[in-house]
Amino acid sequence: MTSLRVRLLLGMVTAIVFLLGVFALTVYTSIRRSLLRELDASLATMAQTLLNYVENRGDRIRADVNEADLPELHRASRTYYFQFLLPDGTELVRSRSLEGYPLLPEFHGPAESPEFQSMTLPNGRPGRAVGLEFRPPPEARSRSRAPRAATKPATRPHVAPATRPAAGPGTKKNLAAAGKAKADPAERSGEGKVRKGETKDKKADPSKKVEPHKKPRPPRPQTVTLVAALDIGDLEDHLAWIRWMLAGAGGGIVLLSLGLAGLVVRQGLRPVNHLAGQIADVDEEDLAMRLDVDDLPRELLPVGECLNGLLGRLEAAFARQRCFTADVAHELRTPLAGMRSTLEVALSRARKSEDYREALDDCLAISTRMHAMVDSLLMLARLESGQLAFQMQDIALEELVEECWLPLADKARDRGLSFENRLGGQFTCVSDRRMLSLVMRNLLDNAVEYADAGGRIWIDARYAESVGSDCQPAGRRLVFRVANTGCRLEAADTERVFERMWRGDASRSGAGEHAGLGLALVRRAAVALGGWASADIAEAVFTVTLDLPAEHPPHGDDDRLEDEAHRDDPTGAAEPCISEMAQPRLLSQSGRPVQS
Amino acid sequence: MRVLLIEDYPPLQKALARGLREEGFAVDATGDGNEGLWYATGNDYDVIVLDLMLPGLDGLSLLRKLRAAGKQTHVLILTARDTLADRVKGLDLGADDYLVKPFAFEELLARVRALVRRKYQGKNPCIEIDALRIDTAARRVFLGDEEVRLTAREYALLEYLARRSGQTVSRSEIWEHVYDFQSSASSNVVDVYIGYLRKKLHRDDHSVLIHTIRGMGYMLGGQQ
Repeated sequence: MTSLRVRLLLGMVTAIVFLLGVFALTVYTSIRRSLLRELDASLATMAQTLLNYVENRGDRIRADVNEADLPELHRASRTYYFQFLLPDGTELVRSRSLEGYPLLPEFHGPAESPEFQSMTLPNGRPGRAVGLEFRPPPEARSRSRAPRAATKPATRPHVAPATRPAAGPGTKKNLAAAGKAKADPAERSGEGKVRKGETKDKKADPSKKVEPHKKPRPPRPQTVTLVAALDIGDLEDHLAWIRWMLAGAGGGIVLLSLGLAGLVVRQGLRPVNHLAGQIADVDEEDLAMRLDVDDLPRELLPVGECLNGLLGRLEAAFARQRCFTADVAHELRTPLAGMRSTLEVALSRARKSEDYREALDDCLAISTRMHAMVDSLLMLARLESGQLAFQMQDIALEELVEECWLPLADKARDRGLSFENRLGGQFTCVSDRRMLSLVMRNLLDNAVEYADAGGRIWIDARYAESVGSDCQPAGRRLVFRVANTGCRLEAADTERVFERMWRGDASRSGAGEHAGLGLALVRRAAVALGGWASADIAEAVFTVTLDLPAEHPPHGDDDRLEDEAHRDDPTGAAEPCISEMAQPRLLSQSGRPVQS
Repeated sequence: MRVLLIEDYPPLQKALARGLREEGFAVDATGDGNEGLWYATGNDYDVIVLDLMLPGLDGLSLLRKLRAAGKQTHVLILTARDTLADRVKGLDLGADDYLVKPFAFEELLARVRALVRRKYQGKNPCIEIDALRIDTAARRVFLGDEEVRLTAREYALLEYLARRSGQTVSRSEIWEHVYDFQSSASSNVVDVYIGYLRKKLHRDDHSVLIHTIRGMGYMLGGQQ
C-alpha cells in the first residue's frame, strides 16, 4: 500500500476497534458477573429458607414445604423451582412449578459451599440453580416452623457459612448477607467453583457447630439434596440488550472515529501536501527559489533541507552551464567579428590581388583558431559525457614529451624560452597514447604561452607508491610535473585555472590561441585516464602536476577508474561534470575490456 | 576625423583600422588597455572604439578612468558580451554607443559618423556653407550642382574645417584630427593640403574661401 493516508487511517481504526472490543467485553463480563452474583445471593437465601423445612425424624427425612408460607419466594419476581431428593434419587418434594415437568438436573455441593449452575430449565427457559447436600440434624421439636425459625442458626448450618462476625445469624438480612458472602468465592472463581483453602476453613467452622448435634445421630444417618432454580429469562434479556447496546455504541464509535481519524490524518498530512505544492512550483527556469522549511514539521525538515540542497547544487550547475555557454559564445564571436570585418573591408572597394590574398590569409588564420577551439570544446564535451574509448598501454614518457615538444620548439625559441628536460631516466605510465599526448601538448603549450619572455620551462617526473584511498587507487603512480617561470597568477587561482574559459586576467583575452580551455581539458582527461591534475603557484613559477597510474590495474579491478572519475573535486571549484561524468570504458582494440 | 581603436584581437584590429582609414578617418590602433588609456588621455580624438576584454586594463576600467580624467571623447563600445546588464553597465559608465560582435562594418562606420556629428553639435549629415554642400554620409562634396572629387585626406581636412566653419582652426588641431601617428607627414603638409583644397574649390562664379588667419590657422566660410 502506498497511500500514507490510507495506511494511517487503517492503523488508527484498527487500534480503535481493538480497544473498543476489549472495553466492551470487559464491561459486559463485569455486568454479567455482578448480575449473577446478585442472583446467586438470592438463590442462596432461597435455599436457606427451604432447608428450614427439612426435618430429620430419625428414621426418615421429611420436607414439608408449604409454598404459600414462603414470602421470600414470592417476593422474588422470578419463577422459582426446587426439589428435594434423597441420595438414592427418591423425590422428597418438588415445587409446584415443576409439576408436570421432569426434575431439574441433579448436582450439588456441600451445604457449606453449594454449587451454582446456569442451566436450561425443564420448560426450556434459561435458569440459574443452586445445588447442595444437606444433612438435617435430628429434630424432635415442633415441626410448625415458620421461616423465622431459620433464625436459630445454632441448630442448623447455614447455607452460607458465617465467616465474618458481622454476618452473624439473626435476621433475614443477615441471612441474605451471609448468602452474598457465600457467593463471593463462587463469583471469584467463576460459576460456583470454590477454592480449596476457603472450603476447608468454611467446613471446619460449621462442623464444630454441628458436632454436638451429631451425638444423637441415628443409626442410619441420611442426607438430602436440594436443587433450587430461578428463571433468569429476564436477566438474559437484559444481558442481550446490553450486548446490543455495546455493539451498537461500538459500531457508532468506530464509524465516528473513522470520520474523525480521516480529518485528523488529512490535517496531519497537510504539511506534506504543502511541501508537494512548493516542490511543484519549482521551475527549471528559476532555480533560485527555495522551499520554505521554517514551518515544516520536524519529520519533514530533512526532506525539505535535502531538496533545498539539491536545488542549490542544481542552480549552481545551471549557472555554470549558462556561464560556460555565454563564454563559448563570446569566444566564438570575437573571431567571427574579425573574419566578417576583414572580408567586408576587403570587399568594400576594388583592390590589388595581394590585398585580397592578405585578407584571405587572415580569414584562414581566424578559422584555424576557431577550429582548434571547437575541437577543444568537443573533446571536453566527449570527456564529460564519457563517449571516449581508451586503449590503455605502456607509454614511455620521454618519447612522448619529445614528440609533443617538437611543434612548440620554434615558438619557444622565438620567445627566447629555455626548455629543460629533468626527467633523467626512463619513466613509463599506463595510459591512452592519443589522450595523453593531447594532455602533454596542452601542458607544454600552456607553459610556452604564459612563460615570461626569456623565461624557463622544465619538466620532471618521479614514481610514487599509493597505498590507496578514496581519492587514489593503490599501486605505483607516475607523478609528472611541468613548470614555467613568469606566472602572474595568485596562489588563490590554483584551482580556477582548471575551470573552462577561465583566464588569469579577465581582460587578458589573449592575442594568443588560448581560449582558457587547455587546462580544463588537461584536468578532465587526467581524470578520465585514472589520474589527477593539480596546479601550484609559488614565486612566479607555475607548476602543473599530473598524477597517472604507472602500472596496469589488478585483474578484474574494473571499478578503479570509476572511483577515480567520481572523485569529488576537493575544492568544489571545478564544474560538477567531473563527478557526473559517465566513465569511459577501458577498451582494447577489439572493443573488449582490457585484460591486464 | 580621428579615431582611437582599442581592440586586442589582431585580425579584427587590423581589418577595422584599415577600413576606417580607407573611409578617411585618421586611426590610431592599440591592443592594450593601458596603452589605449594613454593614447586617449594624451590626444583629442573624435571617437574611441573600445573593446571590453583587454589585456592590461579592461575596457570598462579604461572608460571609468577616462571619464574621471575629464575627457569628453565619444566612446563606442565594441564587445562580444551582449547581455542587457553588460550593455547597461557600459552605457552607464559613460559610453555613448554599444555594438555587439560580430557586426557589419557598415554599421560601425555609420555609428562612428553619428558620434562625430554629435561631437560637432550637428544632426544633419549634410553640411552647407554658401555654395558648398558636404554629404558626410556618402562622403561626397558638391559646389553648386557640380561634384568635387577629393582624395580621402582632402575630404577629411575639408570635413573637419566645415564642421568647425566660422571658427579659427589651428594647424595643430588640424594635425590632430586629420592625421594619425602612422602618417609620415612633414610639418607643412597641412599647408600643402589647404592649397590643394583651395584649388579644387575654386570656381569662377562661386568659390568658397578658406581664409588664412595669420599666426593662428585657417577658417572656412564666415567673415574674416
